Amino acid sequence: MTSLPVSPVSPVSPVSPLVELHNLTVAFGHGARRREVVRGVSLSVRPGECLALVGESGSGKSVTARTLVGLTGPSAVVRSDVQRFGGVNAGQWSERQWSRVRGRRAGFVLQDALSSLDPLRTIGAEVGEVLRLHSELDRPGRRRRVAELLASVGVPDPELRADQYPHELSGGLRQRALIASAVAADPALLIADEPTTALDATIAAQVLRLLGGLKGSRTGMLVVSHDLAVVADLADRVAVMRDGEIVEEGSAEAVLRDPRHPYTQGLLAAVPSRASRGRRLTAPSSAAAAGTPDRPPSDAPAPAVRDLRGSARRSPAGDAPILTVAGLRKDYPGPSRTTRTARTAVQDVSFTLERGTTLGIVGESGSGKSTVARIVLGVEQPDAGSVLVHGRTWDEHRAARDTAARRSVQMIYQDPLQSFDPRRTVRQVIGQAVAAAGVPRRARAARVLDLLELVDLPADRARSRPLDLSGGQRQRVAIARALAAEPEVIICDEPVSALDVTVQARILDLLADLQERFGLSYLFISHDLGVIQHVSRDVLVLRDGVVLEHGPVDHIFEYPRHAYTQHLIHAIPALPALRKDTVRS
Amino acid sequence: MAVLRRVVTRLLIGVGVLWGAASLTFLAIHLVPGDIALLILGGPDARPTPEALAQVRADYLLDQPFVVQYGSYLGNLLQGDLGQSYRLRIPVSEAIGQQIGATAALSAAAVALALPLTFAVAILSAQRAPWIRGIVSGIEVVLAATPTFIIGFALLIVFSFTLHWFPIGGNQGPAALVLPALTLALAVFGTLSQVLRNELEDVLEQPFILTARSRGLRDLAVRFRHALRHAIIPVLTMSGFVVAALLGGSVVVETLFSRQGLGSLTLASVYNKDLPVIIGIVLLAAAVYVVVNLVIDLLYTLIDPKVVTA
Repeated sequence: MTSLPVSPVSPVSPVSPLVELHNLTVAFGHGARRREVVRGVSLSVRPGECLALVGESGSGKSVTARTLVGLTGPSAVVRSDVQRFGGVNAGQWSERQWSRVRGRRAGFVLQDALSSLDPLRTIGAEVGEVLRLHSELDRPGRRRRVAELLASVGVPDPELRADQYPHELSGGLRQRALIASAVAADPALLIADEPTTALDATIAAQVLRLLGGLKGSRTGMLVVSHDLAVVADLADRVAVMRDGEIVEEGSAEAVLRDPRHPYTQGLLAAVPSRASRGRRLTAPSSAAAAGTPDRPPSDAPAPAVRDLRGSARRSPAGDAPILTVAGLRKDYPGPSRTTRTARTAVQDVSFTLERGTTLGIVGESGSGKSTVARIVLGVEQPDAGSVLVHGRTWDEHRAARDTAARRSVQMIYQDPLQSFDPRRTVRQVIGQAVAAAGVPRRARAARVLDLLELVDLPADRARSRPLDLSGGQRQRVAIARALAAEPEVIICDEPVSALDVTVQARILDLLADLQERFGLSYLFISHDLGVIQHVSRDVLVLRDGVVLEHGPVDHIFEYPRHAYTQHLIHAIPALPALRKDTVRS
Repeated sequence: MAVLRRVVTRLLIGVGVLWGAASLTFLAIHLVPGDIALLILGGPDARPTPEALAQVRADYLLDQPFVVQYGSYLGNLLQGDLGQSYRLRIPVSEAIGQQIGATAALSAAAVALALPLTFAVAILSAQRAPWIRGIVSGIEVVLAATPTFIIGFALLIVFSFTLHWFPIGGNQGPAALVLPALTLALAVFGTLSQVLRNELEDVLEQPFILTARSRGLRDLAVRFRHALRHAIIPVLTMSGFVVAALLGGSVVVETLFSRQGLGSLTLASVYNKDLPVIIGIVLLAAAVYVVVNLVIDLLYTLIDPKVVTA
């Protein structure tokens, strides 16, 4: 690769940082509505070094990263004792001065390349824009260079891809293209904000490897993530942010193996894995942090518990499976009208689900996981095979007018917001499900409150609307709505994929509690093997609609027979083992 | 190939729209009370003889059943024969042809004023300080809400009666075109600019805008090179509104500024129940709609790569 003209700064000595911030404060709004989102943050990134900024959403980590290139936006009030870029005081830089630095000396990679690349422009135009701004290349020269850049980040057929639009590429290729546009002018600083969050595990691992390769002797990197496991391999130093402040900072080795701050310890413990199975991911106090200080101890049965226990008696005792799925097959018509060849979404899928157990279904996007879920739920008809709920098909239940069976299988989704009417309050959303479950009008209000309590939501949340809730709270409302039907099986379709690690941990703990109390069975769909290992007793590995492996989770992860399963297991981002004395009991 | 199929489909739909417009107009005219033969002969004041009336009825097939009349009307239309104006005693196509130039010039001038104004104001005011947006948005709302003839009067009072910069009316020279075109343009601008700015502000919040800024693109370049293309789509969709505003507005504006044109022709024809001319103008308007929407449709394909199939 030809190197572009190096930035006009005098050669920096190896120790002098690329960027430096001391005592940064960022606030939005004025007067009573003023909110400080970053308080007293100091950090620096040196050439050849990777700093990871880790924290939950809302911890101020993204805002801090944007401050480094002056991109906090016009409504932010930014103050710092020292802000240096390339050794020069940048505290008072104008927009014009910043725009000379961006792209050329600092590249920026955002989460979710689908929305971070202009959907109306080809990726070649997007990458070429950096060259148009920061190089002397003419149009054909830029085209050649774009192809080189795309090739260098591992995009196959770069000349062809350069003329494609973001929606025509896979998620992994899009992210690579976005990285290519960030490094096009060979900047000395690369900032990556959640670069792998929207990606499947194996793709995420590839992108992380790519970023690791870009970290040269001269290039410094800042990676922002909510997931410590993601940055473990990449980062040299880790700074943990919480509520706008850095609570712990040190070498990656020290922070990950021997975390000093309780918050960091909590973050590490919240990462689900095989080792975490059977234990809670959050400390008991975190339920209080979720906003229910006066919650009764969870072992004291709330009134709602008895209702649900009553319903649980319906299911036959013992290990007779609630759900028996045999030989499912589903074909969809081809994508275009000219090629009418059917695409087989699911082929010969069989499994059983027993009371109080969890079956994990693993697979990447397009593997047919969600199709299986929709068929099991009965909203989609299989082309072959059968779904038996308590030994009967959905059609037989329908003929027998057995609405209790209908209600006994419920579903929660990755994005509950899309399954809520945004104009309705939480009370109305849950109340509708309570009414559908046949609860008499007088008892409904009390039942809604019971359900909110079951999912650890404060009663005053009943008046909120879905848009005013956080992601974790929305998922709790979705769970409460599913529980309203007094189900025996809940199909969980990527229920925690859109959530931060800590929020994910709380939701997983909640699901585990509910399973224990009501003997619920879960069909748990996820692309995240850590989550699957944590929650499942049995696991089913799907690829291209075909079951590759099926069996007890320990067995499959210990002795994966199929190369694809080994590949998946290999892609799990691994945390270094904690030192013994820091593991909480 | 896909584009061609799209064009053909849309053209067929357009023919359907024209047929519908022609039929509805024909039906409406036959539902209006009054003796058409009498109208053709110049109204009750002309006191035509019963023989003359019978002659006209036979000539115009008015004594035939409705279906026969409708069939002959459609047949004539297909041959491009719109009939003769009752009032002007010349073919309708000629009557329209004499006036269409003036209105086309007026509409073109109005669009030429409105679009640059809309784009400049919306692009420069999007996501600016609240007081700037408040002032700009307030002016737009007033312009969009004010009836065209009031805008026209206001312009006349300021620029003709007071400042004497432009003539009060007429068709003579470019100077006479300025105020009528501005009147139409301001009404269109008020609505379009609101839509465009709201859309721009939505787009400017998108992550790819942040990415563009992170490449070192300046603010104005971000707005022009990235945001505008997205924001223009709903504005295109509103072009139907623009056409309606121009056609409807020309009736008011041409009357107000005593200009020749389709608007004044329409008004005179309606006063005089000059049915063939009214039908001709309705069909012309429908044809303009069909063509404009076809062009918009093709523009969508150019702007958004995801719009491919019909």
